[in-house]
Parts: sequence; C-alpha cells; structure tokens
Amino acid sequence: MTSTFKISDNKDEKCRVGTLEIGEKSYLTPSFMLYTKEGSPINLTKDLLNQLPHEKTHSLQLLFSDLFQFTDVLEKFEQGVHKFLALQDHLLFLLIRDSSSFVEAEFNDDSISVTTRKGKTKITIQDYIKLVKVIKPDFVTSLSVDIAWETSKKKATKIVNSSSIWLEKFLEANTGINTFGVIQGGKFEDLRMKSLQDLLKNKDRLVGTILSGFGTGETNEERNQLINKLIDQLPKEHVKLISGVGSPEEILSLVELGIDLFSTNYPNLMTEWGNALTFKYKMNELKNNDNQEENKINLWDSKFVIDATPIIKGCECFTCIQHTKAYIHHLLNTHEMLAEVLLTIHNVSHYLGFFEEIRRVIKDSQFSEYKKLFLEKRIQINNNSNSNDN
Amino acid sequence: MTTTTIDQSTTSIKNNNEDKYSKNNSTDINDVYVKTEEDIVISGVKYPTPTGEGVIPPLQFEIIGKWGKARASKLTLPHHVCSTPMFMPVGTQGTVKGLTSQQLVDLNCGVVLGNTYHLGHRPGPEVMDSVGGLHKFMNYPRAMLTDSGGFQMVSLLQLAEITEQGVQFQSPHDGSTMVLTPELSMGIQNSIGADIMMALDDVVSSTTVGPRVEQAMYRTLRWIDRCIKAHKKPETQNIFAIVQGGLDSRLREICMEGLMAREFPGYAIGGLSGGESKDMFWRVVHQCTSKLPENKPRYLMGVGYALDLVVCSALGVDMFDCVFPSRTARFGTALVASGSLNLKSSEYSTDFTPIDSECQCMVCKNYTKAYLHIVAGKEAIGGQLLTYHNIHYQMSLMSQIRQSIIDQTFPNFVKSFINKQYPNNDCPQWALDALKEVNIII
Repeated sequence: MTSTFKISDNKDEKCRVGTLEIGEKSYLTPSFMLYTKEGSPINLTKDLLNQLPHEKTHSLQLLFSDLFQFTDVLEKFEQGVHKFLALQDHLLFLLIRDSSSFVEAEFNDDSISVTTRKGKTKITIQDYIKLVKVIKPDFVTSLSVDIAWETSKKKATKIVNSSSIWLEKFLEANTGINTFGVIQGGKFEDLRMKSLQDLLKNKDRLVGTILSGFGTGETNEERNQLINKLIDQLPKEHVKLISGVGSPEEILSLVELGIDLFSTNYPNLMTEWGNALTFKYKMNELKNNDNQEENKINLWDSKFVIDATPIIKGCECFTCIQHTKAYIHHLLNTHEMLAEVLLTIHNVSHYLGFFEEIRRVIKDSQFSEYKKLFLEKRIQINNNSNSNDN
Repeated sequence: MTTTTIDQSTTSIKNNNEDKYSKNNSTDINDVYVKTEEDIVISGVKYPTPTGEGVIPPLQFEIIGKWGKARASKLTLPHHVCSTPMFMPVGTQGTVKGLTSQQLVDLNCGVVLGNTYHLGHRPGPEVMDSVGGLHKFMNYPRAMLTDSGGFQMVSLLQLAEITEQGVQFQSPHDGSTMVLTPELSMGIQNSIGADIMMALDDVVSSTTVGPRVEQAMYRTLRWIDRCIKAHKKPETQNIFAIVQGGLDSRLREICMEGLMAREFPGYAIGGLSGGESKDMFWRVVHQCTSKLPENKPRYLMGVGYALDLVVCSALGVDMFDCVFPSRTARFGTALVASGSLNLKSSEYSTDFTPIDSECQCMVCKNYTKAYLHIVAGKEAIGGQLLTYHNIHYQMSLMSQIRQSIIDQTFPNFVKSFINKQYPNNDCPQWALDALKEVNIII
C-alpha cells in the first residue's frame, strides 16, 4: 500500500511536523518507533499496547534478523505480518539495524551477514527481495549494514558502493513496499556525499531516507554537523529516519535538523535499569522555574518503599493511574515480571507524550525556545544531582 | 535472644515427658501416638463472628443452586461478591506473574491469593500497614486471601523445626533464628488485610505416617485458638480453619469436630495434593465435604488441575487455588478443553488457529499458535500471553461448572468435559470412582 507524507511548512526552521498516511492509518511525526523482540513490542500485549495514551496508531521497528527466522511461517500464513503479530492498527517498519545495540555486521560484495538465534546467515540482495516480499511490512529499508564511525575508509567505501548497487536492484524488483534509502559512509564526508548522490538518483521512488551508521561512536557535534549537511540536500518530502540515537537531548538536536522518525530503545533501556522517566516536557512546566524534580528516578531505590504516589501525578498512562512507586519498587525487589511491564508502559507513554509536545511546539513555531528551555532545565537538574552526590 | 528461652522451654517439656510421649513426633507407622493433656478437641473457644443489629458479617454464603453434593453459591466478601465454585489465581508476591491487576479484573477473577511468608518478608508488615494493606498496594479492588505462611516455611526451608510455640526457622537472609507463631501469622495477615486469612496449622506432608500426623492435628486445634485470640479485625477479615489429619479418616473426623465447634466462617481442606494417591485424595475430600457445614464455604487448598476441579466441585468443594496454570504458562504450555498444548513443540510452528477457537480471551482472539510458538517459553511476552489465556481457561471452566449446577445439567457437563479430555475413554479410575460416589456415571 502506497504511503503519503505531508509536512508542515516552517519557513525559518528545518524542524517540521509530518503526517504519514498509509491506507486508513495516519501517523504524526516527529515520533519514535517502539522497540520489538520477535515482532512484539516488549512487555506490551495487545490490550496494553492499545491503551497507551498520546497516539492511537504506533510505529514499530521490526528487526530483520527476528523476522527472518519466521518468514517461512509468514509465507504459509498468507494473511500478512500485521495480522500475524496482532498489530493491524500500527505501522510496521522493517529495519536491519538493531537500535538497542551496535555490533558491526560483516558484509561483502553480494551479501550481508545476519545474526539470528540459530547463528549467522548470509543474505544476498536476491534473498532480501524475496523475504521482504513475504514479510510485506508497511515500510522497509533497502539492504545495507551500519559500520562504526571509526571504520577505515576502505570499508566505508565498500559499504557505500554496495548499498548503492543493492538499492538499484531492490527498486528494480518492484516489491510494492514503501522503501527507505540509506546514506552510509562513516565519518567520511566525501563518502557520505557520494552515498547521498547515489540515493538522489532514485529519490522519487523512495518515501524516505535513513541516516545510517550513527550512534556508533561519534560525538554529538560530529553527528549534528554531518546530518545538517546531508539533510540540506535531501528532498523535503522524504521521511528522515535515524536509528540508534534517542536520548531526549539527542532527539531535540536532531528534530531541529529535520529528523522525523527515531528508531531507539531508550525507553526500554530505562526500564531495564529500573528507571522511570520523570523529566518535564510540557512547555508551561519548563517555563516554571522553581521545581527541582529529577529527570528520571530509579525505582530500585529503597526510598520508595512506602511511597504511595504514582511515578508522576497527572500522567495519563495506565501505570501512573493505577499503581504506586512503592508497588513498582516491591516488584523490582522481588524480581517480578510485572515491574518491567509497568515501567515499560510508563516510559513508552512518557516518550510518546514528549513527542506529542515536540509536535505541538513546532506547530506553534516555539521549537527553538522549547529546546533552549528544555536543555537548560536538564543541565541544571543534572548539575544539581551531581553536586548532591558529592 | 528470645529464641534461647524458647529452646530451653521446649527442652524442659521434652525432658519431663521423655518416657511416655517420646515417640509422639515419630513418623514410623509402627509407633503409637500417646494423647497428652493438652490434646483437647473442643476448647469452648468460638470464632468471634460480628453480630448485632445492622452488623453485616464480613462473609455471607448463599447457595443458589445444587446438584447432588455440588453447589453453586454467592460468596459475599468485604471486597467482592464471588460466584462459586471458583478458582483463585495465585499472586505470591502481590502479583499474578506478568499480569496487571486490571487484567485480573478483565479476566473476571474474584479472589486472588497472596502468600504471607513472601509478603511478610518483602515488603513486610510495616510497609503493608503504611500503604493500607495488599488491596491498595497492588490496586486489586476485588477479594483476596492469604495463606498462613506455615506451608512455605516447611516446604521452602529445610531448617524449619516445628515446636509448640510455632514454626521455628533460620532466616535465609541473615541466618537469625525466627519463629512463626499463630500470633505472628495473624499479625502479618491482619496487616495484609485480605478478606480471608488462613489459620496457621501444623502442616505435615500427605505422605507422612505415624504418630506425627496425630500430633500435628491436635496442635492445629491448639493453634487455632491462638489464631482466634490474636485476630484483630474480625469485622473486616475472616479466618478459615484448615482441616488436617493426613490420610487418616479418624483424625480428619476429630479435627473437623473440633474446628466446627468453633464455628468458623469457612473451612479449608489442607494437607492434600502433596504426593498422595489420587484414590486417597478424593476419599479424604469426600469425607470432609460430607461432614463440613453445608452453609459454609469449603476451600480445597493447592488444587487446580482441570479434572480435579470438576471432580472436587462434584464432591461439594467451593474454592480452589493453584500455581499450575500460571507456572505452566511461563514454560510454554496452554490449557485447552482437550488438556494442554506445549506450544514450544514444532508441531505448532505453522498452526494458524488460536489456542482454542472457542475461547473468547484477548489472546485467542488475536494470536495464532504459530506466533505463540515463536515466543512461548522464550520471550516475556510469551509468558504474559499464555498466563492470560490459562487464567481465562480456569475462569471459564469454573463458570461452566457453576452454570451447569444452576441449570441442573451438571452431570452432562461433567460427561462432555471428560469426553473432551479423555477421548479414548482413558479417564483415570479414581475420577470415575469419585464421580460414581456422587451419582455421576460416565
């Protein structure tokens, strides 16, 4: 099914609000894609997923290495990956890069190496085309692998060239699936520009571009500088996606540069550590200077043992409406699965709310002010907590 | 150290009675129990059911349908009106593993169990008091039941020793000696605040023989009076007494006589489901449900396999609990009318039907066996989904039992249940015998 992407017209700023539509589903950007394992958003059964506040239709990052393991099953199923995963209401993106961790994958001229439960497998462009046609996600990345920022120029050249050839072949195959091109090239600007030029040859056949190979060891400055240059030359109507980068600070910097979609596991990582996100993200709260709340709290902390308040008063998520910090602390302490379930619900909801506010301030042309206030506040809180620790 | 005094006092008792009573805790079938002066069946103590004008006791039990010994009832507890026979999911540490309290309500659970031993240790009674009890703590609005903690002590702790004082054990955490007394058990359970609390009993394994069984039975009767005395909230919480006596019908009889004289709001059948033969099992249940008062709920502890639920409902049991449905879910097994499916098995890898095509649960309406095969026993979501389905299966089975009792079609239901579970006519003989005893001929 063909997608459309409409973007708001922001004269002075690169940041924009977009509406990505496919069939009956409509999805607003900037936003982030929920992290999945074996095709399911972590800890979120269908009832829990569909109760999340802030957006009805979600986007999910399906990992190619996960889906690869049951493409034969999907082929027999014949009713599509959405139904198979009980994710009919949502947008499914098939991606190769795992946003939770970066390991440089092997590749050569005609294939990439994919690590699955059963070991490593080589996937050629022909294999990939065949598998994508079976999986039929809403959106798919063209074949490529991310390399580390500090990779040699030789290797970076190779992946740029291979990715360009694979993109041509992938588009020739007419999979009928909305495709994202990739820009590779590591830290080498000339290679990045070559990758971009190759992609532009096919720009009208792509719905978007993945700014690939980030979150692999570069500094924020290095990343922002490079992305700034690349985005300027990409078609405005392309959806810009980045994977493996997703802290609140990074998100604001990248939204400012024009990134629309984030493939990140940041909320899930917080959950794994027993953290609940508590940073303020509403413009009016950021303007209010006197509250000294924390950016996140760790619910393993025994100070929550009798704390009968929710993680955030007024938060619209199921966890905050129904449960207390004392209960979640107890569930962590007793290694109960429900701890992760409740923290996932809160952390994912909190991030959805953060993005909802980002979209609102962009529409109201307040993004620059918002970003400034947000970062000031965050630095101030981080400094305070550091000095408290000492 | 308080424990030193306890040790000395027990030692002195032992010394005084060394000759006559020395074999009373023997588990040798050839030894004979010698009754002691303290072994009293009827003490005159009565359970303090709140009475008076306008006072509503915290438990009301109304039978709304009967077929033979089987009954369908309305059990009104402070937090919920339950329909029995019912299955009570186990939420050991204040959560039925992987499910939210809301999901338990969505599944139409009535009573959920909490474990006193676990909750008494973490978060502990002080936290329970300060957060206002387990209902508030886990935000489960419906009824709850807590066990006494004794069973866990004996089953989990190898170093547990039972004295007249209570269950003495070494804390697995700091090695200190602690004693779970009837008073302490009641204290913790009052803090937890469940609708139903279980009396601390002297638990012996159902395979134990010899004088020890009789000793435990008499001690259970002594401890029950201490439980009654220590109970601080009879207006809002109920104590259920537990019938002990092993597999010895004479001891069960004495125990029931003693407990019934105290007029409890409800009774549990304990000491079963511990490795005894199924033939012995059903006979003990049958004996107990024949004698226990008709107008009080009966709870068969630790029983939850589908066949056991059907047979024991037929024998007149009202309440059941078991960790099996949720535990087996986490290992990848789904419960169905025909028994159970191990979804990890490759035979389901391309099975695109739901676990049970007639099941109305969220899992069966949305997921195929083929997908569950991918996550069963491996991913957290697999455990969450299968637990959800299995609890739904238990609830649905009980509601069918209940409805068929009310509709006077119970024997037909039992027959169709057994035909589905045992299509090759290989239903275990004990079940057929038990059902025959209550005039259900398969």
